[in-house]
Amino acid sequence: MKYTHITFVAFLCLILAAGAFFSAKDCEAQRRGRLVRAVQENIVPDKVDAAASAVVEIVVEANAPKASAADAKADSAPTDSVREFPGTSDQWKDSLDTDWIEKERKSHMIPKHFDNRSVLRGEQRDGHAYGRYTKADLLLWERETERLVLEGSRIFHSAELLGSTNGTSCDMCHPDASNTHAETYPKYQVQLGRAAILRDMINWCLENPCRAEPMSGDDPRMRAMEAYIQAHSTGKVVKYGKH
Amino acid sequence: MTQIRYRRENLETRMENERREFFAGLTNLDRRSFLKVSAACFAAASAAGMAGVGSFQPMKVALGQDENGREKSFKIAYISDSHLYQKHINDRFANALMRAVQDVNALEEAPDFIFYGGDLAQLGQPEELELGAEILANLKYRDRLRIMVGEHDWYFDMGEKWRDLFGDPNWSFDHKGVHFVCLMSVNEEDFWTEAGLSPLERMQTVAGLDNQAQRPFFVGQDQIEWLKKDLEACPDDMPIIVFSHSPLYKLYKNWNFWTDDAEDVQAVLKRFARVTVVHGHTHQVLTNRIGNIHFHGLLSTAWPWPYAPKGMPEWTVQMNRSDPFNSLDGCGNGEIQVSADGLVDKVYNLWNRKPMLVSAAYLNGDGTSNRPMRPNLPSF
Repeated sequence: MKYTHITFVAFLCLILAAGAFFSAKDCEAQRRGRLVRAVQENIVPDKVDAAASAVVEIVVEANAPKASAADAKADSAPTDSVREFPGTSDQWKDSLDTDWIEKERKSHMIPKHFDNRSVLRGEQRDGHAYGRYTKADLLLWERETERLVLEGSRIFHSAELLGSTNGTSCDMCHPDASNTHAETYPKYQVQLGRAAILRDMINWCLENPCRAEPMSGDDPRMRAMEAYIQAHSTGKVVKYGKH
Repeated sequence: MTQIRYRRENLETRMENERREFFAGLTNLDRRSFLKVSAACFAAASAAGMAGVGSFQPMKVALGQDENGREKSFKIAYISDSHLYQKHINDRFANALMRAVQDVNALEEAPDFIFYGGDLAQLGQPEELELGAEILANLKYRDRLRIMVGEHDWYFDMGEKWRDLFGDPNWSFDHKGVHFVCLMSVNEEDFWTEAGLSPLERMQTVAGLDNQAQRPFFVGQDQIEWLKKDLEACPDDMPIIVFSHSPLYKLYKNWNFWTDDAEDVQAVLKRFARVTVVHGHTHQVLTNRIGNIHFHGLLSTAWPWPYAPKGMPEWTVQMNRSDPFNSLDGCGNGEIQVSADGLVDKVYNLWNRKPMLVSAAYLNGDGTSNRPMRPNLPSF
């Protein structure tokens, strides 16, 4: 008799949990819709300026199709999913437009790129397996790598690009990527109950403090953010597993 | 089911209870018995060769009484750096401020006043400031609220809404023989006009702690003149407590843990024997002493900052690194206990952790005695 009751209660719980699970998607769509409306209502009307409205457009563009046709989206081509993240998908296409790079460089500190001039001298110059490098090569390496890092910096500092739903961005707890400790991964993250790599922790932060969607490992934003955080580990000794 | 009863207290429980009774007894002493206990303690300590000149003596409290025998020491509760967004955007920060308000309301002994350390809003939006004012209105002793401005409150409309709600950003008053001054220390040189930034862009630039496009904070010559005039009437032996949002010394410029004309302000305060500066902005347990000036930071209710990578004052006993999996860890509020001699013991009420006390006795010593309890793990 006692066990029948328990079974009945467990069954009820199961039904409730299933209901909550299936309605979660709709809630998410509504929440995003509310956020977009909130941004439009609160920021746009009286404080219009180019940058702010650009940000709003980004938010609207990123969210509107998702809210209307979330399921249809699932099978779409990879190009579409990339297009959901404006500002990052076109990072190479916009290579001639250096405005954002200069702005980012002026706003946020990134550590200095390694000085590779030694490869132009001595043994490396004469007998290198991949041919003779020139100053132009070095310049290319530095510029392209720094651009990835700066792109990461831009996302790291932007609640909009992170997809944060509560205004929180990474830099609010990690100014200059401090306290991120890329040099200690992989490590067993007690609270996650498994060995974690840096992106696992980034995704944890996205889902919890930022209340954003987690990113896939090859998301251009994730790659750029890892680049930014790792660049800030310059000079630190890699000690994987360190707590 | 029968309830399990312990027939006998174990040793730890018994000692713990005895300790608690002893301390409860101490707080209930009348003045005469208190002096007796103090004298006995001092005699015992002297006999054991433990009492040095600089060590803390309970006698100090007894000296701090006015002609009517009333104690002059008092307590200020503080809340700081709530960084509110509008509630529908971010409920967590609003809830944290509400928790702090409840903490203050639940204090057994009413504080003489409640101090708010700035950065009530995150992006200086009128709605954010109004929400903050609304939550702070729930304070039981809201007429005792004294509020300071932070850069997050200021740079959207250059303080217009904040002044509407709370009045002037700098003020001063005397209370129980202590002179209190609040400075507006988060002025920045105009970097926005030339760059053609909108008010919101200007605010977002200043709101980024690591944003290099902004300028260092300063108090400004006008305000330093105002401070000089304000302090004119105060004798050298009068205790002074200064509130400022940024620390009134130079710690780490990249994050504006910095006041560019700090030395000028310190010079004005130099003639006073007992000066305490209490500042917000740094969201952490932070202690410093420069000459006679003691500096204490305030905890944030929203999130803790990591310690600056360089320039940390040796006086700071760092709080342990915060646990990212606990959204309130490293946050909190606290108390400023002003003793009868006008010196300040600072209590950091870290939510989810044991409170930390940084005493005036520690800052007056050589840094080895009365040291705050060191956490087990280093900050990371």
